[in-house]
Amino acid sequence: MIKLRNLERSYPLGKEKFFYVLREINLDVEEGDFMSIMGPSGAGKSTLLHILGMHDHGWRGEYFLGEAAVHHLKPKERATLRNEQIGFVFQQYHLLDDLTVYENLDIPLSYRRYSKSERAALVADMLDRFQIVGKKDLYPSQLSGGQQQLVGVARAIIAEPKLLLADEPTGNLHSNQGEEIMELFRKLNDEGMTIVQVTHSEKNASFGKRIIQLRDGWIVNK
Amino acid sequence: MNDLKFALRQLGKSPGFTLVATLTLALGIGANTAIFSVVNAVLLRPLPYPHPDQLVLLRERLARPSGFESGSVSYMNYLDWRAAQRSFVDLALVRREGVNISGADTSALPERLGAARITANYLSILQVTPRVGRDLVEKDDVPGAGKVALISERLWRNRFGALALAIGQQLNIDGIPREIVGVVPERVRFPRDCDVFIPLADLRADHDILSRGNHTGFSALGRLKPGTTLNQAVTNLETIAADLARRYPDSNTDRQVSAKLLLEFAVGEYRYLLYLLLAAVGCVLLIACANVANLQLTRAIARSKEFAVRAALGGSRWRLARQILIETGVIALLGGCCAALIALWSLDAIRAITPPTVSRFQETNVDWIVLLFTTGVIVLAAILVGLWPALRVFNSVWMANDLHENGARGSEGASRQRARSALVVAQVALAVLLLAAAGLTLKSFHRAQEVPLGFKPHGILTMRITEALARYDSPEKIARFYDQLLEKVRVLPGVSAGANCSDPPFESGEWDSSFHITGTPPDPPGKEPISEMSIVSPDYFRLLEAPMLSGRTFTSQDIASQPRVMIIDELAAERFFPGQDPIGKQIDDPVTIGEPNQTGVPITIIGVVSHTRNHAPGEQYDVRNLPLMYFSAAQFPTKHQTLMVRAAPGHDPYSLVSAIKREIASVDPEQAVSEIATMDENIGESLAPRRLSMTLLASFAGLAVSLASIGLYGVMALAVTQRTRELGIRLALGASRRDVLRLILSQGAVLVGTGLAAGLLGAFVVSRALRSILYNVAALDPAAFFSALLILSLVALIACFLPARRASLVDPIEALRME
Repeated sequence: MIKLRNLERSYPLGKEKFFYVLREINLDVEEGDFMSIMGPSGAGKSTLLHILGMHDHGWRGEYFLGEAAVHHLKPKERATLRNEQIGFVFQQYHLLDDLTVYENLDIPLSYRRYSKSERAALVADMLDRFQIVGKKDLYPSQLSGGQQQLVGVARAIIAEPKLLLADEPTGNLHSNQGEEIMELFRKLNDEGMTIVQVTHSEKNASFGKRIIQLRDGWIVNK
Repeated sequence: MNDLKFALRQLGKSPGFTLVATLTLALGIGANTAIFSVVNAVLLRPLPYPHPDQLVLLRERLARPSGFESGSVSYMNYLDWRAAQRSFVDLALVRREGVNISGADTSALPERLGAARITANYLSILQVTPRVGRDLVEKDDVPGAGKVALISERLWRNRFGALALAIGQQLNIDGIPREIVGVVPERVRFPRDCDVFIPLADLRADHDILSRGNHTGFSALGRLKPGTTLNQAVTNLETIAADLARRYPDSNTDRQVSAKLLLEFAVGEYRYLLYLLLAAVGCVLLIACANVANLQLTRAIARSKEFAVRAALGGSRWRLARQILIETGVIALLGGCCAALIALWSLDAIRAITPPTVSRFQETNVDWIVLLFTTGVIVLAAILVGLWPALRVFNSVWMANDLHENGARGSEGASRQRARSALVVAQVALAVLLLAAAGLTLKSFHRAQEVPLGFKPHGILTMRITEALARYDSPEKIARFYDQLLEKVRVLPGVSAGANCSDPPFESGEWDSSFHITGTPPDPPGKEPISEMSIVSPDYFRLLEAPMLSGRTFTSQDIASQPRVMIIDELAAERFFPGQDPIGKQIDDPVTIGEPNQTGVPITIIGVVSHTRNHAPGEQYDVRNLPLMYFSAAQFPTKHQTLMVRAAPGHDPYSLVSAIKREIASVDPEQAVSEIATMDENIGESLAPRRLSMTLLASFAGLAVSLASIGLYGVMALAVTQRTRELGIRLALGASRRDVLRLILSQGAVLVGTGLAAGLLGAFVVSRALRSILYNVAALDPAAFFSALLILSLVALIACFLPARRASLVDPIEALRME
């Protein structure tokens, strides 16, 4: 599903000097895979995730997502592709404070081509699927951390992406809540969703099918 | 003192904020100071006479549909008022004139000066004594008395070097040597610009004056007895007027007395306009304060923890509030100091657009009352700006939150945002209000300028000529002077036409008279037809390029020895001869036109000319919309004339002045001219009050829109900064740049839309207050309101677009890292 060839990401340091965050990344992720990216802080894990999520455009190399050669796409085409194929889960949940649970779930749909009735149906399904119907009118500040991340995951998959990217999804949760989220990821993966997560936790990584290690921007094992 | 030091230190730490806040308040306070200085000079400053509130000016009012509110006083009525009244210490009579003066040196060119014709008791009623010499006495003011005059302090300084030996010297006034008996102090400024004060004396025996129906430009001045109110005096005078109307129905039917305090008479017509302008600058001040309050609220976010910690450490609420108020006080004081400078610099500009005929406008300055007012405005601004943040420290819940919260998140952050939004809405609403008002006055001015005049003013030069009585003591001499003069002027290079006229268009004042149409039954008293009158030379209509509609114009054959003829305008034809051909019809010589022995002798209509507009659109004479009747200058010579010359195409009218003056001197070396101006200038001057309101309201509206757009930009920019994380999330979740742009613009649109709606509603209410200063424009003129909305919407769009564009460029990765 994902094919990266000689992907590099660097920042200019001065005249003709660069600081490399990612070096010669060559990576294949099959459809239905559940891959964990691990490594110390500053290894380039989150950068790689944001490149996969097409939030970062300043890289060189080749990136294929399915049949699409992302490196040849214009920003607008990348945004369309992202909206069609990718969902994102954040460590800090990043729910919008002033919106209810229902409205937070509706946001991704509002940026895609769904009719109002389709949106309502999808949100209702998602609330039901995640058993948070009773919380639909609550604001994020009225939820526990685990509940917030549950909403975060629901929001990430509501537009039915093929690829779910998660940046330390349990980093702000205590162990029980973290485990619940990872179980949820495993279930989604079992249902066919491709998942790439960044994590520091060996335990959480063990929920996936494989692990890659990053150090100083290099992949040190696959 | 510590609070002050800390305030200065805090402001010094934020030079950008201090500068912007100071300049914003400086503009708001400066505009208020400037307009108040005008209000102070024109309306508030007392007249420079003892007990000025006892001085009353009396005029005659004609209470009928085509009547007027303030007409001149008949000399005979004055005598009766004076004799019968019980409310005044005394009544005087006064009239502004122009005189030619020359000294002993007859080779020097005569000088044209403003003069006042007064009764001998004039200065004593003002309670003013001459600076040097003596006042006029009763024996100076009887027919046949010795010829004396008072001169102004200005003339005394300029012509006599302020030497006491001026007293007793002879001054040649209109060809008559008069002995200077006293010097009138400079503070006597009524009538305006008068350098010579002459008693009525021989005028008291003049046939024009002695006719009760003849109103020859006089006003009566009275000083109320101590303890008598103006209302009591009016009641007393109305009784006298009613008695005179019974005794003299021909001349006094519907004649009532119009009494106003002297100050009100001089400047009353500007009171409403000036208070409107003061209200307008009040709006500007509110907008400026809202802007600075918004900045203060933004700073309050950054400093909320500081105040919460102070409170937790034992600082009393009052102490904290005082700290905030001192800071805003320092900003307001700095702004006030800059405002005083702005006001001082703007005074010349304001004087330049104020009506030149009202001297009190030109006396506008910054005195201690203005400074006191400015101080008051500074205090008000400091309170308005500092009140909300100061009150906030009294809310213990908010203060407690500030200790735990970072920044503006949470409900209190939202409440601050709401407060800032409310301020912006108020700014936009006030700006719409001012823009709509400016739009209305702009359109009104345009309409007044565009109004059809019935003649072509461009290229016409006018100059006032008054023949000295001593040398022009017969109608024939006056007629001969103009015949000779016009003959010479007409052939000057660059002159296409020359004429003279007693009451040319757009000259201050008006001459009207009732008359009787020959052969019709006598009109009942008070029901006589009335028309404006003017005495003109044959080329007058050709000069104006006003077309003759039927009949003929005056010719050189229409002289005194020939049957007397007249021309009426189309309005007179429609009104007095409906459905008839007026040519050949006659009116009886009105008492105010010809010689007394000719009164009632018919004058024949020989032509009908198009109607010309003679007065500023909307002013009291214009509103009466009287028809015009013209009489031949050769048959009805009058001493006060205006020489009018039309410059040939391609010639500047002013380039003709010296040649014309040479020709006047060649006809009569002692003849002076005055009030040289083009017709365009005269028309422009007549529009001065409208120009004043339009220019100032447009300036204030511009200032208001600028301040409101800065405020809007500030709020939107801050909102974008505060929403960066949210925008990053939205972008990460699939929002396009356009979605973000739309999101921020819609937030701005809500603010602007609410402000526009509130402003529009306010403008609907306030525009009614403008009705009296508008000409030919409805108070709810859709174009003016739509323009105001459009302008503000465009400016607001720009103010919102810049932050919105910045929002659309947010890097989602950076935004998400902000947590």
